[in-house]
Amino acid sequence: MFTSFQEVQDRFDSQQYICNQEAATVVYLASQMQRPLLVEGPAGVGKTDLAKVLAASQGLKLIRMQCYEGLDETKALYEWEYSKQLLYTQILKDKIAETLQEVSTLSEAVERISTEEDAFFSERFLVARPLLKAILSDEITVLLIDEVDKSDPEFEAFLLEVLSDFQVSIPEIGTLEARHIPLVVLTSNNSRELSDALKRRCFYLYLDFPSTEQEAAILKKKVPDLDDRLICQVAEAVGSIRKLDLKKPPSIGESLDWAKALVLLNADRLSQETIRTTLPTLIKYPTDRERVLKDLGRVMPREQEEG
Amino acid sequence: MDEVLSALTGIELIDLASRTQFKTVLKTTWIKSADDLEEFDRLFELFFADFSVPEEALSKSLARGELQQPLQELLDQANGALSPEFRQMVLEGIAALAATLPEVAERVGLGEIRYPLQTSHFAQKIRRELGMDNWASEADHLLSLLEQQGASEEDRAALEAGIAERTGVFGEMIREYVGRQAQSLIKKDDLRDLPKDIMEKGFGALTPWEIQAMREAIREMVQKIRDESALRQKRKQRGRFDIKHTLRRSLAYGGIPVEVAFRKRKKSKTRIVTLCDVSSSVWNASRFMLHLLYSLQDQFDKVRSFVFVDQLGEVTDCFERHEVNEAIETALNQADIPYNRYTDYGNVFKQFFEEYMDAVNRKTTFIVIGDGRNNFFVPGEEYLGRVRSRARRTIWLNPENRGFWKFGDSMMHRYAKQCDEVRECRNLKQLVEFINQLTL
Repeated sequence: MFTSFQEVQDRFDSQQYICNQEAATVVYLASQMQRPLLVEGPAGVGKTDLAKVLAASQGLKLIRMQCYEGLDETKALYEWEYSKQLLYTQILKDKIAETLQEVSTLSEAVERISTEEDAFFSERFLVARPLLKAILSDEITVLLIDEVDKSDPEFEAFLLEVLSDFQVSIPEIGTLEARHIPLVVLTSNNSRELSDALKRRCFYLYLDFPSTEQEAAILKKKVPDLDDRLICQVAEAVGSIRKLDLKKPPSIGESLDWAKALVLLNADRLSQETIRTTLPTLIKYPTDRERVLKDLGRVMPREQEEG
Repeated sequence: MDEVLSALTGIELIDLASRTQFKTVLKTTWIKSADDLEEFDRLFELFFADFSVPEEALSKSLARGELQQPLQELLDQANGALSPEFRQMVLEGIAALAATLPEVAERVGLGEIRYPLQTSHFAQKIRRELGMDNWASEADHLLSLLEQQGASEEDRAALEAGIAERTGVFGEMIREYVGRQAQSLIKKDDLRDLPKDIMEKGFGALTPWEIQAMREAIREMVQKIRDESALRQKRKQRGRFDIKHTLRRSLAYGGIPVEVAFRKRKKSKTRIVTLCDVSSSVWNASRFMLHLLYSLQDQFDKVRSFVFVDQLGEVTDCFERHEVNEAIETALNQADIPYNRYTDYGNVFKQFFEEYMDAVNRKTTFIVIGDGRNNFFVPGEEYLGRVRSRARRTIWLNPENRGFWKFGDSMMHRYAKQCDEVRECRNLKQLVEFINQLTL
């Protein structure tokens, strides 16, 4: 486990993930205090990656649960493996005859059967879904509950129960308790307001688009072929494009794509012309495209182009 | 409570000397919504100003060890001429002085502050109590003593700058401290005035403050409607027994129907087109209507909205791109319709019919919000009739008391004939009832 926020920062850095002091401190606190971490922010700022990197940086297993409308307990927690159970009953039929061979009375038969193992509803036939997997795991895991805002409110209530006790009761078996409390990361795009109860349980981190310096650092890490001057120009241009009133501002992934495209095109500096031709890597809506082209002067001032 | 404890545990885990880390702990444990972050930042800066400002303002020159020793002697020499507060400021910095602020504030009777306008008056009182007005001459005295001792020009300039900086920052702190007191008093007064029956108060009679307060009420309302609707959907979802699907699934189990399948009912969501009168008489009703509709957008198939006075402008885009409250303001400013005109429903319906009929189909519920007062223009109800013939339902919400509909320039009696439903919608309660039915 981490011992300080610097360690979080360093280890994330070695996983090619750059985070600021605030994010690192929150991750450190959540992992120290074993609290779920709720990460919100615009699409494409690396919310999901945060969880992945958290796992990778400590060599932990990542268990991911993608939420969607209609996700229910059988898909999130556990299910019985019907086909195996069915096979089992068929074996049972033959075996019962064997077991009851010398039995004469009915009560004796019942007696004998009840001494046998009750295997029909046992962990053997249990299909563990992500939540149960995380709870039953032999080692600490990182449980990523992705886009929790997409799930239904009733599922959220159920999730809350699991996250506060880290135990699950299965009526046929009993209560299963977590061997290790997993590090839980929930992400949300805020498409719906989450319940206060869930929020109360969690630590909250709002990840915003990175600052220009941070973006430059990310670009430097991930696209090492790009030269330093171009990195600065790209980071600045993306920053100012995000400031425009766009339907979908470019994500970090897209700014990386853009940088890679520039490397492929052997661009040595950014000009209005190169922006125009490589814009499809960055902008995905026709109206946004128009918008950027209209404000190209602001994104990439002429005088800067010369220098 | 839980969150306070978390914060306390968290604080033990971090380096308390770091302001950023301390702030992060409070933020992550207390603030759980992106909307509140800005307010938190503001309040944090305000509240913990006492600790941070001196730290930053601590001029390097004063903190430098070599100057400290002679300074102490110097101050002792001039003991009679310098006030204790001035001495404290120079030697210990303003953090120590700031700690005495509450006490000083009590001496000058800050508790009696009533209006924000009194801020500078009370700030001045505190300055005088601390003798800050004399600090400049005391500084001069100290500097001349320093000169007599033959200190270097550089040291004197450093001391002068340091004192000036501290005096300035401390002045700011006093102002902020007083301002904070004033603000906390004002908040309390406002809360007391909030009427309990705000839900039943007519839209026209709402004060700006009440409109603010209403947003919270709306938020709760929306959550309730959504929860109810989710429950309803859940119950309804299980449809009829699906023979085909069940048989197909049974193949995996040797023909035994272990898993039984049901047809899923498709959610039928309403498509909504709404025309909102935004002339001043009806604006509040329209505003809340839009607010509710867009907060519940996921309950509908598609919401398209138009605002009008004597001409029509589409504002759907605003709402798709912005957060609701912001969108309402933008919609008002952006829609290129002239506001200082007389409402002309006839023209608006005509315009809608000619330009936007593609928005209406069999699934559409067409909603008009307006008082139906047409300023004696041509009523143009035939256009409304044509829209109705294509839409699933046409509903008119009127924020005016039903009793007034027959009088003056109200054309409600003629428009009503072209609608499937006409409702009085004078307050939030009625509006919520309506929206609730709409989500059924």
